[in-house]
Amino acid sequence: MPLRASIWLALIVLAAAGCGGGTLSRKALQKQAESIQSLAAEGTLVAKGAAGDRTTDNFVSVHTDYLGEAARKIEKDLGSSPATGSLDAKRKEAERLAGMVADDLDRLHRTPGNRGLAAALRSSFAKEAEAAGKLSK
Amino acid sequence: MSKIFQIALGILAAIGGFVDIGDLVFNTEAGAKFGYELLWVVVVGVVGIIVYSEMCGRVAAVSKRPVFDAIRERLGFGVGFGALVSSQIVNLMTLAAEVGGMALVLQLLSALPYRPLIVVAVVGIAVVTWLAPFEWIERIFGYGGLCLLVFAVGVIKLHPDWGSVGHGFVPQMSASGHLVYAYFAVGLLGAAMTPYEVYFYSSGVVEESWTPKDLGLNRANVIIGYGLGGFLSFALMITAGALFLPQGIEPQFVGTVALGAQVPLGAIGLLLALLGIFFAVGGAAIDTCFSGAYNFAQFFGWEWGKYRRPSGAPRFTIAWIVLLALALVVIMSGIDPVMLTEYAVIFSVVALPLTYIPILLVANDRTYMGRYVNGRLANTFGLLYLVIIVVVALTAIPLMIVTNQGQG
Repeated sequence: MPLRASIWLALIVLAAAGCGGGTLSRKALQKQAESIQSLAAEGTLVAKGAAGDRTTDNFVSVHTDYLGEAARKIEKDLGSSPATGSLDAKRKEAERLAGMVADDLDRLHRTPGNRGLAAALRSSFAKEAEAAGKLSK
Repeated sequence: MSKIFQIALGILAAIGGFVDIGDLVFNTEAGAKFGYELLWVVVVGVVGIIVYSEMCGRVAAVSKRPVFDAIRERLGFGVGFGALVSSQIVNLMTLAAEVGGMALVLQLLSALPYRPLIVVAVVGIAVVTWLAPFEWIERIFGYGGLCLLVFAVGVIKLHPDWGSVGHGFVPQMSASGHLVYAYFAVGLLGAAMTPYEVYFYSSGVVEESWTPKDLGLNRANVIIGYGLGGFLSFALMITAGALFLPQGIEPQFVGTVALGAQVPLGAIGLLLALLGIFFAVGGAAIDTCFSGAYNFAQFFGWEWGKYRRPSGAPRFTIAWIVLLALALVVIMSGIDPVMLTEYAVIFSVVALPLTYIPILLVANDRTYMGRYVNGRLANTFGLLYLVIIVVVALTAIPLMIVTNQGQG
């Protein structure tokens, strides 16, 4: 194959890969579910500290912002990678969970000093972590 | 008291090398993935860096020649220049990552925006480096980094299974995920023996005008300093194994590392952890900034040294200022500091033989070393570690690719 044609072919392959249009594999979905579980579990720890006044507002606000961004990215990635058959239902569930975790982290980010909210979010995160854990099995 | 201050060089070199921004997250990730199973790798790394730093310090104290002098002389201009370029790329990546890490910690403390804090971190390093004498830089950052000992206190409060912790010091293979385990083992070894530690340490020996009379001090510095660095690595890994592994948490952020002290010790633990991380990461930034300037100066034969006024070593001074400015540009581009330093660790592993082979050769050369030449013990360990270094250098990048940077 001439050099120029090879370069074009490589560029097309790279562009197709970069479009994010590929279908989601079972392993990739499992990885994403594990990441959601991890973020929700970490949210539980941060919320527990905030509810018990054992942390600082600045830390809670900044750290939940980073965690929330990561959850939102997973939600977006799952939304743009369709899966086939029964896997698609799991993908949608994972996408929904990622969105819930991101929303809860955002609430903690906005009002880090609200101990009542933090206590409520703690149990919410725990449920989300459990649901994501089941999804990753 | 003065004896305590005299080990600041080893502590700063070790804290910069063992618990910089990437190592903090890497050690925590290793613990969260494999529990205590990788503790033995840290021991192997600590002994290796003690063996080679002792040699570097001895060579510098006896011959007044730091590492890069030896590299250029023993490897010749061509290969030496290759070593210079590769080490400077890694230095710059690491420096940029550390500056970003300082800004992240300042953000976690203040909730101010990240990018302006990067500028604050760079200006802070520049001012301290310009104004403070070498000894005070060592003391401020080396001893400030000791706030990280809060993780050791946290470990006690977390009540880990001490039997499993003890078992982690026995060399083993993981029951699952062999390649990912190997990637973390190679990364931990590389982080422990990262070349900028010895560039900084051996140049520091010349900065402090050590002579053969100070060889005992050299030994104390490397054993206490690197021993402490290893101890902090253990504490981080055990914290992650006890706290994050059971909950399936995959640490990716500096804040997650600090959470490891907040959960057992509350707000005080959190603040001490953040302060410790700030000084450790700041120390690593200064290590890498100076190492870069030292390497250029020693390779090209410029006047160098913090003990001189900036006008007495102008090209050395310009070198560290330029490196700091370049690091600012790199980190301002929006690159993730944690990921950047993890890449830097793996790439630095590839350059390890180019750093350590010349050290072993010079430490065996009677022309330079006279009666302070390597003994049988130093050579046995030196050769053993050379084999380990070569294996690690050959496997680092393939493992990084195959395991998707440890993600499996």
